[in-house]
Amino acid sequence: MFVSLRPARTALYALFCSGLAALAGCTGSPTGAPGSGAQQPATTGGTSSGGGSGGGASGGLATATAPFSPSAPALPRLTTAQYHNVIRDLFGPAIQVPDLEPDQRPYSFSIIGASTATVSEHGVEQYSQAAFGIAKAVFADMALRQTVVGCAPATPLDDTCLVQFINQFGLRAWRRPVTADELTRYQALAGAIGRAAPWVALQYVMAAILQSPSFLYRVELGEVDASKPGWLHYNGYEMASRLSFLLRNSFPDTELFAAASRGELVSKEGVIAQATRLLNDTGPTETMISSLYSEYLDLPLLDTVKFPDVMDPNHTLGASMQSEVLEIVNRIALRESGDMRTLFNTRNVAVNSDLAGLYGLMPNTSTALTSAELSADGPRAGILTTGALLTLNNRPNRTSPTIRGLFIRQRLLCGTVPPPPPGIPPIMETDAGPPKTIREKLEQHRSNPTCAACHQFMDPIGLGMEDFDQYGRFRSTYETGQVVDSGGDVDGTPFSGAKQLGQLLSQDPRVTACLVKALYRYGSARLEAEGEAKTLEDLDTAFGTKGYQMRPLLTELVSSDGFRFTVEGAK
Amino acid sequence: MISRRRMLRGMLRGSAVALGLPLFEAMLNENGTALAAGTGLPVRYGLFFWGNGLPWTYRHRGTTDTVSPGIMHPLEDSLTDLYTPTTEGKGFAITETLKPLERHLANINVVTGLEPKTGIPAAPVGQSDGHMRGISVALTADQIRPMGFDHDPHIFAVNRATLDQYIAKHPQFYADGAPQYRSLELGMSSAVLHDFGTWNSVSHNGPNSINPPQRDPKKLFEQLFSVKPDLTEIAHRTSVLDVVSEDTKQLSKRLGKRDRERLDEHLTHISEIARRLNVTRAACVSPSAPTTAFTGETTVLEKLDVMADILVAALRCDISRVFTIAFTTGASLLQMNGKGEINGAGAHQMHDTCHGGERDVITAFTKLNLTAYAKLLDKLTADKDVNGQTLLDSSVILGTSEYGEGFTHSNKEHPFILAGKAGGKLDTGWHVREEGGNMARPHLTVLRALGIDAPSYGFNGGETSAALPFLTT
Repeated sequence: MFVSLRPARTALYALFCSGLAALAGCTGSPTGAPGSGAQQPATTGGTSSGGGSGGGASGGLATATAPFSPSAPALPRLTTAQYHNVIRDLFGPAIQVPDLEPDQRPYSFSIIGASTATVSEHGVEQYSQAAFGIAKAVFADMALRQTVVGCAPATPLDDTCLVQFINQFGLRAWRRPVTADELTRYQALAGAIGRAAPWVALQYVMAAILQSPSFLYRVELGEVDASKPGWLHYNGYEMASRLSFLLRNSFPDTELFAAASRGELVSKEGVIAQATRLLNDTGPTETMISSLYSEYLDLPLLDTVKFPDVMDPNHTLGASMQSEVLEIVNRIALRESGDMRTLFNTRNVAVNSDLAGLYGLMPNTSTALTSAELSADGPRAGILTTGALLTLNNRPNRTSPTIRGLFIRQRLLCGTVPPPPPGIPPIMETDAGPPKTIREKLEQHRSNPTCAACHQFMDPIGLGMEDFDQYGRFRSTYETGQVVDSGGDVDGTPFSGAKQLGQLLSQDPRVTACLVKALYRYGSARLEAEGEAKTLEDLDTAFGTKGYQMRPLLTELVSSDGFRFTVEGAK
Repeated sequence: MISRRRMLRGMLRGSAVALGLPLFEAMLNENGTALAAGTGLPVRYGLFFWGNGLPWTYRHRGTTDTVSPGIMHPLEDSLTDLYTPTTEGKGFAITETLKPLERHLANINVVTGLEPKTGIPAAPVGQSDGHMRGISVALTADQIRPMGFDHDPHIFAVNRATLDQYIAKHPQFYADGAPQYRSLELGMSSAVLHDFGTWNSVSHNGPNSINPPQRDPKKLFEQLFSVKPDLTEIAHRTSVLDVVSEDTKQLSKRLGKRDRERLDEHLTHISEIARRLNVTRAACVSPSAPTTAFTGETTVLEKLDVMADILVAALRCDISRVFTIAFTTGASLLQMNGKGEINGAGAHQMHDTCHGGERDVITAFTKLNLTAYAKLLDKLTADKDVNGQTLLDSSVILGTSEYGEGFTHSNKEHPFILAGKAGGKLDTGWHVREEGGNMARPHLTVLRALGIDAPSYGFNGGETSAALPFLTT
């Protein structure tokens, strides 16, 4: 069904392809310096904020030696997870949160969506109804309302208790002291509701606090820094909030607020002290690492995969696969304080009844994950050979070397792939004649130079993972009986099979640089700007110096200039 | 006679607010064609959107492709066109994929041959991507945001407000006061490529500002027909919203331009919610509350029936006059087999099918979408307006999809099916064909049919001043 290409047109293809290469930067070339295979359209521009800028292809770390210059702050709304956590931490687990507008996830992270997307009218209405509903539920519980209000209101409502409530609850809900102007406004609100019924007045004051933009948005605008002209440093309360939302996904705890009020969080040492305290609290830090990696690796997409019943009789396999990856990540990152590069070649996995069979291990009857050692001469090692990473990035009925390769190229190597042109000649699935393997079909596809311009950066990586099917099962032959050829290459370095690919990635400096970049975005709630290249470079260097351990990297991140300094946004 | 204007105006803090009252016959003039007060009967706008376009034919083969010159599309001459009627003008003959709409042929206009005329900036590359170009131009008559193909920013692909929001916020549309909701956004199939962004929503206020669809019939019913709070509660909530508005204004002053714009939009939403809180609705026959959640894809048509009942009631009760329905979305992941069975044996995923080339499946999928469209029209013709005409008679529905077809992601032959007479401004029953015509023409026609002055519409190369021939005035 393909129409062959007329030779006269070949020159045009070549022109087109080289044009693409120049424009989009067909990156990922093996000659790229560590960390430099990372040209990202739409990441550049001094105040870039998730999808906001056109950027072009000149970004990335080309200016890595330029001194750091701060970027304008992001204004993230609370993500839905953060909103839930904040309500839980303010009122306890009994208070339910109604529906909120779903997060957007540009560049993988809901936190970037939270600082990019404008909330819709319906979303604002949901915030409003949530605030009224939560306040009503809190005040319907006599014990809870007493705890939350913190004083005994007189009838009619006295100013002493009202002011105390506004100040104390406001501090926690807004992550900063309430201003005099705001205090006056909220006192007047209590009057408008009616002081004759003190609890009712307090309830609506709370409902207002919970739908004020100071609650819904993280306002971190910085203040003048005497020692750095033109720069602003995040003030103590803003820094407490930044630390807490990054490491706890919720508002600051008592100690952070205390450190903020003592002015300790403006200094680097003060930030490091608090970060160290928080990071040594392993439980909540595991939750943080889990949210980071879930979004980074797209793990929740496994919820929608329908596995064959024979593999997944209880429909729990997708969930088990996700838990396993997070378990491996947390073990290395926190419990062992290990080298994060070993994620890609560890033979220590975590299995339950769903996963043991998939990995050819002794049958396991437990639904809980337990540690297991993969055989040294087996086909698996590292997270690339987990059920999760093998199942993600396929077509429903077959593997997709292209999508698998795209994921590794873009997500793990931070490279870019030029776009398909319009009128793309599709990959033919229904050709007559003897069945072709996906390798043969893709090779046919890549014989078209227009296609090859993009596919050369994806297919050779993904084809090397053909030893596993779209559900993560090892195979040496296809259903047609054809023998699987799992030869691949990463920018000229050949490998065979997903296990060897993991081994290559564990030694590829682009992988660690890319993780640093993802983490920086996650922590900044926006894309990195050009002026922050130095911070990224320094973090990458420090990551290596500290043996690629996660806790030191996080400490370096929160104490970096990029995390502590900002400038005024363009008016 | 009661002056409608008088009835519709109330006072809230010195500003006029509209009261969403149902229309009474007493308010009509003697002919029943307009309100006695001189204002016309309400006209309504709706979007019906489906994913993945049409089955591919030789017609989708590009001839003027300037971005990738020389690419030959594997679209053979022998591929029969299953969609385009063979005759033009009124009384055209039905075709296979239009068959589901046969009972509404007198109520619809089929417009074929159109394509985007918006420019494709050279950098960053990727702005010609069929999905995003088709979706953006079909919804906004503008080119996509100049961000290139990278899928991540593509979740916010539109460059300006979509047509529904342009209408809902146009001063000439709700000239005598907006009803409770300026617009309603509904979705049916949840088999979306991404549960966010342009892949999920067909209604946008502008770049980075999405109106996510409601896909749960129970929640839609609750939103529109639940019992309103009592007067004390309304007063309390209004006081709270006043304080929150002031907080928002104060914060806005401290922000840079980009975030100030986001917060100002937030502030507008707060005002709109405060306005809605104080709109009183007179007794109006509400639909019965839905009892089924309709999760899963196999019942998507049944879900449409239930949600359309709620929607039609909301239109009749004048709760809103603008709606969008994303029946399926761009690059839909709904699974269907060649027999048209959702999740049936041997089902293929729609987006995959386009890439893969199972034309029987995409044909069945197109018919499913147009069956849904016909069901919506059933509901709109079953329900009568105050003047005895059907709701469809007073509406114009723009039916469209994401591109011409998905096999090569061609933007040629982008489908448009307009339904309804817009209160007499549109004749119906036509097939209009203009090969290579500008796909902003349906937008312009819709605007004029709704009484909005539009000398031209379309942006960045998509401008047109030529309405379609079935516009009667």
